[in-house]
Amino acid sequence: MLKELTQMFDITLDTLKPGDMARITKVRVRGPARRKLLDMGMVAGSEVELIRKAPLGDPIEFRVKGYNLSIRKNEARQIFVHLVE
Amino acid sequence: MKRGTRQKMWFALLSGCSYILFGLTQLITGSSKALFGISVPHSIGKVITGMLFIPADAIAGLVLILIGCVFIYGFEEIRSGKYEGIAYVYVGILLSLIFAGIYVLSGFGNTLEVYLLKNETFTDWSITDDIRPEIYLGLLSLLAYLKWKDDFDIDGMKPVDHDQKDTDTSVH
Amino acid sequence: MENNKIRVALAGNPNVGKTTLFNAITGSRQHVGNWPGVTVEKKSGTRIYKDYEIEVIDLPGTYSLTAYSMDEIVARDFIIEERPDIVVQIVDASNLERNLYLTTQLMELEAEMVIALNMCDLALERGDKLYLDKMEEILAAPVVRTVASKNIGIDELLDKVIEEKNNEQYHGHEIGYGDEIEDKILEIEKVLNEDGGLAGKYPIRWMSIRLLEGDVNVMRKVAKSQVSEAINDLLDSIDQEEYEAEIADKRYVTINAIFPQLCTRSDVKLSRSDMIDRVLTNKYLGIPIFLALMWGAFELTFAFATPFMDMIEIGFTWLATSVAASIEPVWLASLIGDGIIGGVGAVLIFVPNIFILFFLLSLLEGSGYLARAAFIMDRLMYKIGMHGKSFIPMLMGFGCNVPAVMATRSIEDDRDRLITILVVPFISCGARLPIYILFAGTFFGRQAGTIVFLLYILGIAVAIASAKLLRSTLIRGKPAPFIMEMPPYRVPVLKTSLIHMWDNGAMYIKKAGTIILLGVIVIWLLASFPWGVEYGSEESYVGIIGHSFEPLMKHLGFDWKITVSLIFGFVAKEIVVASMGVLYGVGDNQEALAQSLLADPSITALSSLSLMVFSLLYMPCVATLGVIRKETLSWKWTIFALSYGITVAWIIAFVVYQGGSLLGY
Repeated sequence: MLKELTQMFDITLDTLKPGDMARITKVRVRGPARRKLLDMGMVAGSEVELIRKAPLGDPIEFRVKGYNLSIRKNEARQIFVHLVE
Repeated sequence: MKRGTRQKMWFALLSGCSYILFGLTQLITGSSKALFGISVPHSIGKVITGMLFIPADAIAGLVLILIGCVFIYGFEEIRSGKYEGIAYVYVGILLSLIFAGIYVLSGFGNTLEVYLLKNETFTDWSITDDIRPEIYLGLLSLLAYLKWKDDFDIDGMKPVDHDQKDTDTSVH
Repeated sequence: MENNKIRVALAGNPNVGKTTLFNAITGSRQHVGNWPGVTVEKKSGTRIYKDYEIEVIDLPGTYSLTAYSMDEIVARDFIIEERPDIVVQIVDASNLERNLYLTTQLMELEAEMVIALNMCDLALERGDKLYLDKMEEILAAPVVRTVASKNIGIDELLDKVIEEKNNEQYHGHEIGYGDEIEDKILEIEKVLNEDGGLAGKYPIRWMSIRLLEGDVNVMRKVAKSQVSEAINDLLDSIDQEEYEAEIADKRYVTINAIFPQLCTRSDVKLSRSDMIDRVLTNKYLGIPIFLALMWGAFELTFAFATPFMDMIEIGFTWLATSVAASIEPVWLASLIGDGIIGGVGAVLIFVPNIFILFFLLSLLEGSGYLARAAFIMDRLMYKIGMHGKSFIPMLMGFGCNVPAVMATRSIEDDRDRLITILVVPFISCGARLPIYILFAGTFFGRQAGTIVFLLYILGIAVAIASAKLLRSTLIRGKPAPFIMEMPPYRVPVLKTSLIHMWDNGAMYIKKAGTIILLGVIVIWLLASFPWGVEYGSEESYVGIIGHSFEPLMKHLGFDWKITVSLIFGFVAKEIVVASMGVLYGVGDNQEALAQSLLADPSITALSSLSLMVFSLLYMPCVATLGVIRKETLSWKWTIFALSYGITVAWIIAFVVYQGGSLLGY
């Protein structure tokens, strides 16, 4: 129950602005994308920074685990984070 | 502002303006030829485009304008105190070198056609036909690149320089 | 000296310099092909070093071995099924964290490992500190520093490989997954051990972990065993999705714990790559720069390939005429001259184009820009049911459809890739231009330029519409998710690009060549028989076919001559013009051909427009079909591409011709 509540106050990855740092709390993506995201370091506890958005607004580039990874808004919307700093 | 950065700023302005100017000329001559089937009238215009080896090539003109815009963007950023502006200068130089390279190689291809294959469609061709603004403006960029290539290396972009800029611009 | 052979598999993430290291080890002694049954590239090569014959197999670059993509399955199956003597993992020293993730999985596969710490120069230059001794100790594997692009550390690496091979004892290492998961692993291990066959063949702990993660591939291996029911019962009780996250999480936790002991990273906030990306993915400049670079690549391809294409053409024309003059009987001369030599010529004429396009593509890939191109274009492509990675292959289609179809290999998802392959042929390639120039020039005069431009747009529109249509019918579903590393920009390694160019060019000649030759000979037979008719005349089979299709084609405004030319266009679309020259009896003379076309009452401006539309869309040329077959590994899809193209072309040409007639043109 408490876990659910804290998640209510979490925001999703796609709402960050360039330069924002956040920590992942939950990856809610389903299907094969989930596996891939986990493998690429998008796991609960990882720190991510939004680097930039593509010229047309989607996909979005993040810095995670010391490298740059870009994913679509679709997936970012299902990754919950809370802001760091 | 660091001396090197200021130099780059003026270089960006100079390059930017010349690329845009040459690009516009090329665009106008190129599109008028494509749309209305006319070359530049027999006038001063023709003499100038002839002397500067500006071909009637609209798309290439757009590319020149684009490179010019990258330089001007860099000029603007540096002028407003952002050190990151030199990234635009760097990419502008790279782009102009890439396109200079493309046309040098094309010229090489045409030379092969003429001297090796004696292709009939190339009878009127001479090596000067392949000299174009991309190539001689690219030479300018080449000089700039050689002069500053260490500045564009990783070291040159460490936060150290970043701080220096901050203090400098506050005096500015 | 059997025991002096060592089989080494190269594993590693993409973009860590794996191919460069492979080239540095094997030099020119390499062999490129496909892994059996799939179109994932298989590279192997040998190197004789200190009395040892070292066979190196370059596994596909993967971030993980969890069977997300075909690449991962291939790499993993090779390690567990073929059991190479040594697995060399290439680790990017400047990006240890993510690279170690693969290391943890290789450990679980119980592979004998040697780690090549590549690109140390970059990491050190940046100010990172690397503790190699500690690394060897913690990872329980020898670690060698390499800079593959400068040939540094290659001999040391091979020395370690030999040493490790002769070192009998295996020192494994495990990651702990916490009490709950470890208990489950133990339970499953116990059941699996009851089947001696499985236990002897695969690493049991690895299998158990993979089963907990819900790995379909491993399930399949277990399904044949007598323990499968017991395993299923065990797995039914757990939430695999939770376990999946937990296990990945634990791996990264382990890495986080050991990472500080392996290296200290300097804190450079703004790297050169970030600076360049500020410009190249800039909101306003990003897309124009991308388009400009692509346009430049085409300018270069054409200007530089044309002389070489001309040389090939001149060579083959000379060969064909001298054969025709010197061989008896006439039919044999025609088979060799018109059929085989002409056909081989049609295959080889594209080689300069293909070489240059692949060289440039490899430069883009090596520099890291290809990932940005996909990043920039993904939004647009997603809207039409495709993936950002589909854009570059489609763009290459404007040059030549053949390398475009081959370039779809960079698309991981099979369905995304199939759609791209099927729509590429609608992109108007360079070989279709001569047809437009002849007809638009002859019938549309001043508007010719506009007509040609509209044809290109039509090709793009049909490609987009087809992608959407396929997405809602045969290949349902959304494009694969876009989860892509943006690798740092690097100066591409020339040797790597040249080898890449050579491999692809050679692959085209070898594999596609045979199918093309077959197609060409069939066309020749149709044009030369029945016995004694003039080549390609009204009485030949091709003429008869042309006549029999006339009822169908007359709705498009085509008579039998045009139909026959279109059949010839199957070999290569520019041949349409040449064969019309033959049918009108004017040969190569374009001016005379234009005059006879104008004089022919059966061809009007409208029917010539319909003809151009039809030529744009009607079918992939035989070279493209050859590579479609090769890349899809399916005759079904190849035939689909063929018939779909003809159908679409017929419908659109019909609309153009009949619509135009109704409007009174």
